Amino acid sequence: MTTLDAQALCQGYGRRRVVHEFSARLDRGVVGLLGPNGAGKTTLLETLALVRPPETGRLEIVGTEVRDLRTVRRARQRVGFQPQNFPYPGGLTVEEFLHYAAWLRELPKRRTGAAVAAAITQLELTEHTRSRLRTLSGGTLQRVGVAQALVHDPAVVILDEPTVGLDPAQRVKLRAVLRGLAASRLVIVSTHIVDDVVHTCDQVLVFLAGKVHFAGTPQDLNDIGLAAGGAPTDGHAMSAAEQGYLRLVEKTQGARA
Amino acid sequence: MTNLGFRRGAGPALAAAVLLLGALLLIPRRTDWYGSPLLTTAMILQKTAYIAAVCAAVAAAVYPIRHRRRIAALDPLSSRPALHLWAMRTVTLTAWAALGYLVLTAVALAVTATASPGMRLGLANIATGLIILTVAVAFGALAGAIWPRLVTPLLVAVAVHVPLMAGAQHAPTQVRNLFLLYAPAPNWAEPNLTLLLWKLLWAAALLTALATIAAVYGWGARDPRPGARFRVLTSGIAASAIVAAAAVAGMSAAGPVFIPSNTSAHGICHRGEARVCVWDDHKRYLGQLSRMVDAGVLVTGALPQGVTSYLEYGMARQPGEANPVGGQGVIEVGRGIANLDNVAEQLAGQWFSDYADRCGIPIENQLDDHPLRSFLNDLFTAVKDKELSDLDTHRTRYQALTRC
Repeated sequence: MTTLDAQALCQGYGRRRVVHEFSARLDRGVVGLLGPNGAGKTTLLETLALVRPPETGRLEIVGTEVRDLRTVRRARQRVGFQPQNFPYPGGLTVEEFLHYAAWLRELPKRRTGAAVAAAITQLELTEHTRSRLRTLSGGTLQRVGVAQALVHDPAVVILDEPTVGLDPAQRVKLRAVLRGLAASRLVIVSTHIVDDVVHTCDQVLVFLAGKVHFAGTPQDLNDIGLAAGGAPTDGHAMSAAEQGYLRLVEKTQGARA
Repeated sequence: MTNLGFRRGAGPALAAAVLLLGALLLIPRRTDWYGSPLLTTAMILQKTAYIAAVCAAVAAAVYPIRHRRRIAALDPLSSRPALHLWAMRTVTLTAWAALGYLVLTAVALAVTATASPGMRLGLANIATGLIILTVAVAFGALAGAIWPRLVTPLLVAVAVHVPLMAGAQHAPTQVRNLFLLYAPAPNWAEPNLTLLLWKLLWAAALLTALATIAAVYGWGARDPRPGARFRVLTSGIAASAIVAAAAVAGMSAAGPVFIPSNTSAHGICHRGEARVCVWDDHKRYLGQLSRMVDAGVLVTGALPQGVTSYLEYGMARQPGEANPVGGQGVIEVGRGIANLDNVAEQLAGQWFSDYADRCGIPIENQLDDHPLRSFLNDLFTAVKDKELSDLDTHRTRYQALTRC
């Protein structure tokens, strides 16, 4: 059974189409969604997380095809989502917040205590259990955000730009966490930091202007960069993967022009 | 422990706020309710307009949705439907508010029962207060869910308080019923339980309407089928409209808010000339009330306006209504909230009115501190607990004060 199966998903705001016929069959592992600002990454992730049901197309999550309220509920129980720029309720402690997240995802009460404890351990938040969210650093808050997304042990974890605002050490630490999560589930991460994708993901989707323009491994992206010349062209150091990504962006923009 | 996303300690704080606000509102008016459990619960019901406004504002303020246009809070990620989220939070906040309200009521009843144990509590008053709180909290939680702005709690408080107060003070009974209120103040009669049941149905219609809006415009899992929200909206509005129509028709046909109960009147009410009528559970006041009126008759020589009988609290008729116990006239003792201290003032006012009419005293001179009014008030207060002494002195003083 495919963990997430999307066929020709479309999404938009009023008459403006933001996601055009997105199709993918994704299984366990880390999938990186790479794209510039305004490409429609957040809208796509919100659609996959069922925050916005797709306007058209077919979406199946762990065998549940999303059709009505009953299937939306069941599918949402299998998805964990960390939105971008999430305004945390600062007055709650980490433990209270995770209990709340578990309640929202309809985790049975008898399992909540153990699930919260497991999420706290997995994200290394033990020393912050009773800290209020407003007192935590940006990096710790991002980990809390990831913890709330997986407290109900979902099959799909979707994280919208989780590394934004983190210092290099925190980013490296979060990458390790994501790799750990992906051992047993599908993790979809959006970012515009190519390095994060190269070091974390099993698969890369380059999303430009509402469409997938590249689907492959980080090595494939690297190869495109090497084929394009490999060496920096403007005096700035750039990895091959970054060059590959820029090559794709330029190509798409050229085609659109 | 699940906190439903409320701020830390929001529930206990709400209960404490209800308790504290209620106490602050009740203590300055303690002479009006102390000594009668029924008057106590009636006074709390009167103050429920303030308490409900605060509860609604708190419900709007603590609802855990912020920046909804950024889809940034957790509710949109929930697998629970929006209706479920709203309903569970409403129930939780209502339970905390009700706890504060019931503790307030219990403490006030315990205080007042030291003076008059064993009297009726006015359970209908308590039930009505709880219904008002439930609707107010549900409204506040809905406003917090669909329009979470800094100003929302203030607007919600005004939206709850103003109609309740306006309805309580100026509106006719049928309009007051729509705000779930009783009469401005209770009479000492039996509450109309049929009307109370219709009010419960009316409250259910209001809650159904609020729930419909919560289901359609709240945040949480939604049915993705085209037209699903429209179907929920139309069916919810239709259901609440049907229930509301039935409730309004029922309230209109249910009669007055209070039904005078002749069966509970003391037997003395139906005998002889100068009659004293009290409800059975107020017989304890009969001696005091009789002494007060008898002292008035002895000192002044007559009942005011030539009436030949008088009634105790709440058995007073309203203008234009039939006298519930027959007879040609009554002294109306306490049309509204009144205990024995207030009765002294009211009796003094009735005798004073006779004098003012007879001597043509202009209304602007009929002041509360008029010497005759003060004299009568002191007289009735003095005889409340003991027989009248030095009758001649009082008569002489009365005659001196009532010369035109």
